[in-house]
Amino acid sequence: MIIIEPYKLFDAEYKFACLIWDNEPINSTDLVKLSQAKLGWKKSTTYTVLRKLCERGILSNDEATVTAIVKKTDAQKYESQTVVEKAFSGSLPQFLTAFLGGKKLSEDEAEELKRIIEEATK
Amino acid sequence: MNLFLIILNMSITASYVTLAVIMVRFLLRRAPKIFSYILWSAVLIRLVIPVSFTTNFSLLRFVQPHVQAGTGLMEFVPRDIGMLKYPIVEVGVSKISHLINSSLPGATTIASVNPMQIILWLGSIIWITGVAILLCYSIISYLKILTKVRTATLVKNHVYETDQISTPFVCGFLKPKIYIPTGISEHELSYILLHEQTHILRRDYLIKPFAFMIVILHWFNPMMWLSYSLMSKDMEMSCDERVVNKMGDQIKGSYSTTLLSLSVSRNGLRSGSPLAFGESHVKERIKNILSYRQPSSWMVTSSMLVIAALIVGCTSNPTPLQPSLQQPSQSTYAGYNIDKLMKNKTLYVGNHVKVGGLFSGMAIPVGLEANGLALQTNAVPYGATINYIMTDSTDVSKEGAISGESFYRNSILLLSLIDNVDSITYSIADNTGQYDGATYSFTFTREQVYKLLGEDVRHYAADETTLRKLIDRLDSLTFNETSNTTSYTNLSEIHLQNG
Repeated sequence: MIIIEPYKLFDAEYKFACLIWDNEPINSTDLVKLSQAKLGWKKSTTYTVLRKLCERGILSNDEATVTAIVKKTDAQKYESQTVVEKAFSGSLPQFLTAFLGGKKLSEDEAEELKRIIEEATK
Repeated sequence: MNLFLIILNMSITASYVTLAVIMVRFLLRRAPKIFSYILWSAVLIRLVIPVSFTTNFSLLRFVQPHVQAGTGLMEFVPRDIGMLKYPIVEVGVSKISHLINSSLPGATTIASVNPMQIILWLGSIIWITGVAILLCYSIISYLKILTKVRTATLVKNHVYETDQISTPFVCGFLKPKIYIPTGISEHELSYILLHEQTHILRRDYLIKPFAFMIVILHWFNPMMWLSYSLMSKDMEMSCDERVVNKMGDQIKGSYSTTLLSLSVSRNGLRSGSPLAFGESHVKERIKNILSYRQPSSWMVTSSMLVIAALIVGCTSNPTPLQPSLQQPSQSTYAGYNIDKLMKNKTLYVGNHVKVGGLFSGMAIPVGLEANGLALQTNAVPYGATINYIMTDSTDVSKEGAISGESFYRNSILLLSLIDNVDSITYSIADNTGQYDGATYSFTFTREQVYKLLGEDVRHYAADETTLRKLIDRLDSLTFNETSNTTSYTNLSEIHLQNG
């Protein structure tokens, strides 16, 4: 028995795939126009995301006709948090980040702030 | 090299302005933060524009450095420091100045390059390398953010959402867009958008990257990093205050909670990029929002007055302590333009601008016209030749012969003021016909002067007082040709060249 692992998609990928699920089969030129209107994407962005999803076997682009390979029910959105953390760490040296952006809140500090807000707004 | 010194001087000036801003900022801590934010413009102006106007009101007169008369520059580190025999830096606090100066190497006569020039050269290299590295770093981090938000999807107008970021920010230069993380509730969105729209309205999305570029130019100065950090905080807080102003006191609690949840629930992006806006200084911002009160009109007026005073006081240069409006005739001493001589004092005879300045500050004997200057700087001994045309011989001749006497003083002064020159030659072409158009030349060497005066005359060039002493001494020297012919012939060799 084969268990199909659900495909995980980023928010943008999921919204883009939704356009195809709702409109397939769709001509790639029409898809560019559609994502321009619905997502605010440039032509190059649309093609880049389309190519990536085709490579992952989620969509197929056959002679400018785009169809979905994976069904909407088999796909789900990523829990994005972990990915974001990896992607952004080290965009500036640690000391600069701490200096310019202020310190990261510890759990205790967050609790304390919560209490301060509650007291102030009673 | 020169650029580095300009930056260095601007940096020192701006550090004092930063101190003033921090003090005034403390006074204004209860006032709306927009006032603190505006204060930073004084620092920014000082970091960008090297020249300024002078007023008696300038707060910088407490740290008065050399304000170059007429140039509007604040010079803590003189521009010609690489050429000075005794380099002098005045940072405005005498103890620190003393510490710096005692560690600066003086010029050594043997070395071909002044060690101070080497330090300056090294400093420039380190500075420009730092600028390049930081510039690359910020461009890369900006491009990283651009790729992250490339797939952000349209919410409305110029607002985009993406799950690749955890905190809202404005990005872009020509058409700034607001980027928000996904999953923000409707009421939270209204606060966030108002906050970010305020950034756009105030052109903060241009001001912040510009300020960061300037900080990169002044990266060696920790005070400027501090300024940048505090300015960013004031900028954010003043936008928070506008949200409360527009939406009313009752939203303080939920707005604070929004800020808190943005910084806690998603701890991914640390809003590190200086070119975009993120939630920073959350704790202080929340406390500021909760304690914010609408300012009274009295507070607004007095804050504006304080700001105006600080900005004028800190962006203007102090009037020079000694008025530089002295007439040239007043500053001449026994026919010598002391100011000009001191200003053009030089270590190197090769510095033709300065040497030319020295000659024009000399007393010229009546009846002679200057006719150019030749410098011999290829090899030791270094020499300078001054050409004159004689139109009237009465003043320079004695008993029918051309006398070198008029040139003694000038030569000795030049040997004092030009550190590395070995001999001074005066060449006088006769134009009166009295001497058949012959050319006379007088050469004075350092050795001869040493023999005559019994000391090295260079130390007289230290300041105006010592220079006056030398002139006095030369005046009292009698070049009595009848009684002391030997010293006269020792000092000058008269060459008669048939023209």
